[in-house]
Amino acid sequence: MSHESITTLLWLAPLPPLLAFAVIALFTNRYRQTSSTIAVLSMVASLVMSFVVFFNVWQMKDLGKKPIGGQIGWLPTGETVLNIGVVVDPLGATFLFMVPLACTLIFIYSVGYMSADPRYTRFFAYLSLFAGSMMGLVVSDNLLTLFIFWELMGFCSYSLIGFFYQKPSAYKAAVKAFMTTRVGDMLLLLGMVYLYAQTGTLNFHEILRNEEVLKSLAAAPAVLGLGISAAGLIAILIFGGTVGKSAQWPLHVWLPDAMEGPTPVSAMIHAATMVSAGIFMLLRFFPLLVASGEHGTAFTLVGLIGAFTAFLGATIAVAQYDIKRVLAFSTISQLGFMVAAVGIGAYVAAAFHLLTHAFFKALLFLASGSVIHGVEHGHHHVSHHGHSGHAGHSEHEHDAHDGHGHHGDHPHHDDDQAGHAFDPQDMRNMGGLRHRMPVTFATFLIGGLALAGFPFITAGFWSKDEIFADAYYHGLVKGDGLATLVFVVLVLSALMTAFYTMRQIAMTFLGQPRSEAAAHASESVPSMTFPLIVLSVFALFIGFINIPKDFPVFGALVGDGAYWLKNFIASMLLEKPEPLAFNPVPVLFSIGVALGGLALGWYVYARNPLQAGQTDPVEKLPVFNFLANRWYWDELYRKIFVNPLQAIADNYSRVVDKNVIDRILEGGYALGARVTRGFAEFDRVVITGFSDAMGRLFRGLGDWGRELQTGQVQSYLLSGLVMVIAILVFFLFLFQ
Amino acid sequence: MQNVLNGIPLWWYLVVSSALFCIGLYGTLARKNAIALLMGVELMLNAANINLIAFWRYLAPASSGGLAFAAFVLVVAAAEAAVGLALVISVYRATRSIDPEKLDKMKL
Amino acid sequence: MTIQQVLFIVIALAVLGSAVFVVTTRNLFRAALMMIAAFFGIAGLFVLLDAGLFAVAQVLIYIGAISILVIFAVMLTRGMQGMVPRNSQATAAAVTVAIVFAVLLLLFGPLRLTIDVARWPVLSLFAANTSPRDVGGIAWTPPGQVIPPVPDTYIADFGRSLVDLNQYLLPFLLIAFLVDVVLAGAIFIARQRRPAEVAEDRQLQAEEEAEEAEAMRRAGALPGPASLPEGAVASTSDH
Repeated sequence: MSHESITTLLWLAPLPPLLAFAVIALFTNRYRQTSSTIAVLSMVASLVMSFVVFFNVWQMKDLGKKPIGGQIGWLPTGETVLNIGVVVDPLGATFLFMVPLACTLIFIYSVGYMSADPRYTRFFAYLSLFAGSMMGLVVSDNLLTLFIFWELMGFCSYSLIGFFYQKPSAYKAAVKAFMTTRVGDMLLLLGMVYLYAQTGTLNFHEILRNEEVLKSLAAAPAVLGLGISAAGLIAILIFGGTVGKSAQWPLHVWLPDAMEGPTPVSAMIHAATMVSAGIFMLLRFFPLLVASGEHGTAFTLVGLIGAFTAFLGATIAVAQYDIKRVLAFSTISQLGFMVAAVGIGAYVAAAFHLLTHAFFKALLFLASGSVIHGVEHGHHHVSHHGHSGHAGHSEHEHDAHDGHGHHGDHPHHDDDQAGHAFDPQDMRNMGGLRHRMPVTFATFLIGGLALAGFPFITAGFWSKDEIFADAYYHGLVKGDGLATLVFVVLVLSALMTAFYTMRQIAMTFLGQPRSEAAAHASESVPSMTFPLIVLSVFALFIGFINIPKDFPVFGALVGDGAYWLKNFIASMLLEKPEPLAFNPVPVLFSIGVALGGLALGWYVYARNPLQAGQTDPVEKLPVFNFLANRWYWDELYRKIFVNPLQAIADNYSRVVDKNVIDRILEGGYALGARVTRGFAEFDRVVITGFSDAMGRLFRGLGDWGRELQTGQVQSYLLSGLVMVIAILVFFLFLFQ
Repeated sequence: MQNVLNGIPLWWYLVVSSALFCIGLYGTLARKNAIALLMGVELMLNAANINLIAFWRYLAPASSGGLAFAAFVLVVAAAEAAVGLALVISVYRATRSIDPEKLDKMKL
Repeated sequence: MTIQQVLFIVIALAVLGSAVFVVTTRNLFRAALMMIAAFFGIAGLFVLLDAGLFAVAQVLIYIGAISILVIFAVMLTRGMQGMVPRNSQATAAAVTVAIVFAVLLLLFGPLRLTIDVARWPVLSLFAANTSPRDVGGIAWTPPGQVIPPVPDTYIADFGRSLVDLNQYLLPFLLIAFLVDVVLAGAIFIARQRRPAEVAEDRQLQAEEEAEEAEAMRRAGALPGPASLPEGAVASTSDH
């Protein structure tokens, strides 16, 4: 296929979902079937186009050096023109494979999941807009359009998180998400501006594959001094955007609350696409990080934040009861893994883990949605048949609680309110679901094992192992302090990951049902289970695209396919990363933490599964409350940032606005009224008075004139005489 | 030096005639009786006559123009007096009043 | 002081005094008599001016005819005596007359003024030429001028001039014609009215009075309601 055709497909690929958004929003808003069909078909169209592009370029050797794309001049800026365009390079191609596939599956899933919601069409409109924006971001060849789509996704995230907008928790979560990512976006914008000021362009290829540009950015000192180069500052600012969008510490607080949105949204936004976009951008700017110094400030910052976030997320996830919250913190943790990988320079490992994570995390979220649906079905089944107990009592509250269809999600803080309203997302209400929902169980198990990094057969193992190998090599072999720290932290986090994954699986599926609802749960419809199955296939086998060449058994098994991803993506960088020689130590660590964590979880939760009402052993930990309340970061931010601003805003409204500004305005009105009255007076007295006086004057003259004509002889004589004398004198004395 | 005839300068006559003229003028303008008004007119005409004769005598006694003019004035004065008085009587018969102020129909 | 001067002064004072009396007295009869006295005085002035013919003519015509006429008119309008002699514009008239007298004095008096018009700011705007001019003193003549005597034949010359084609024949004839017309007119004006005419006169007068009253009522001067507009009033007389 010719390069022009590929470029055309790149231009066209984001369009179908965007058009679907417009069509649904404007025209088919009232027709559910039509809207969802349009949305799904548009996504399929986009998928087809993306796949065509991918399968045309996946075997190109130097795609990184010579990416395929096209530009148009868009923004005239003085003497130059800012070009925007599309490009497909190895990194973009990888995303072109993953993103539309995940989105299509989620769309299909949503048809079943959201079927009972009255605002079904609105959901698909927003979802289409979101998918279109993500596609647009993936094909963008410059930072400006990337940012535009970035912001557009932020808006969609806000709309979708706050989809159930009657619930205060939902719209508050939406605002929190928007505000928090805004902080990151501002840093990104600053970085973008600075970059443009330094280089005069925003095109990725022109900046990031251009030796001279990178060297000059590295040589120039940062505008604030700070001891780093311009490249470093720009990289840090751009990383700020990643911190916001990909929920790294300190801007991680929005992601758990974002679970207020419908589950497909959680799957899509917070697993497959939006949070990946942050890492995607960071990967694109990897050359800039390199230019700012191999062991420079930028890398260090990235690595530290990534490692800490990985640890933070894992520890909190251990103490959560809500099935979606566990996955949310798990996402935060796994993103931390990727960021840490970038921080130690493991470019390919980070990209690899991003790819695998998208699949198995989306799978886990969708499966959890299936679980929630099943438990809710069971709950209704119970209440319809009039069973006693909590179920009957809480059904009314349950209905009053959501008020928008039976299958609304029930986001809840992680408090233990099993006695009050029934929470279908609380794992303590589940149990024994492996018999009632076998497909969901199987797929969830696969996803969970992938997350934990079960050796060899799950994709998660291979990508995590890659990170460990890089960290171990750079850290303990070559002696880089940051890499060592990253290695240790990530190992601990991986251990906890496996543990809480097993905890989650055991509590949800194993043992006996702990509630009536769980006892009557039913498997979900095929439109929901089909995507689960497809995703689990990927969760198992996608890992084989980057097996190390020297890996025992498996390396020989794939033969030339070893390190396929690395070879493909490597051309993105100016310096080809050298493949590491096989070292069994990190592999053993990978296997050890995975199996060890899973075994520990099995021991605690699966051997003697929890009964109803039994307290979770995890609560016995002294740090339980600290972990359950998410290390109190939300409260801290509220105290430092939100409350003072709120107070200022209230005060401003009360004092300044009402007193000062309103008084000024009222004074202005009064003054204006007085001026107007003054003018009216002036008009009345002077102008009208003047014209009246003129009238009176002329009438007086007329009256006087009229009186001259008395009709009396003598009077006429006198008048005549006066006139004559006047004329006589005039002529006598003046004209001679 | 002025014209002097027998010690009387011309201007004496002129002053007298001016004064007489003004007196007559006042009578015409300020009297409430139509006949008195006509009397004033007669005085004015006489003053004019004095003027004429004085100038004739002092400046051109040989020509007759001054005399002729004076004669005409005399005759016209008489005729005018006759008509005027006839009018007054006629008006008196009709309106029982000879107050000129009451005769005010000469207007729009 | 020559005798003529004395005579002149006496006669002049008499004339002016009588004239003043004429215009200020309430009694018309007295006024007529004083007017006769004034005429006499004027005749005396004519004599001083060597115009004996005119002195006689003055006496004959003015005193003999006009004054009689006036007395007759006074007699016939006896009902109107005893009024205040001054009318409403008397003061204005007096002021104006004073001004007229001043102007005439300036014109006829012995003074000859030289007015430099250019120096008067407002007047100079109106003046045609701004050279200093002489005003007044018409009677002034260069000194040493001798006043010619009256010819002996001045009466005959005067009479001849009246019938001379090249002199004053035309005005003479016109005057004669005028006298004729005046005679006829005066008779007609003052004739006795026939009863019908009398009634007509009275009716006209009544109508006029009504009109006047109507006008005054409309203006609000008289009490009573105003009647319909003019067109609606039935009028018996033809206009």
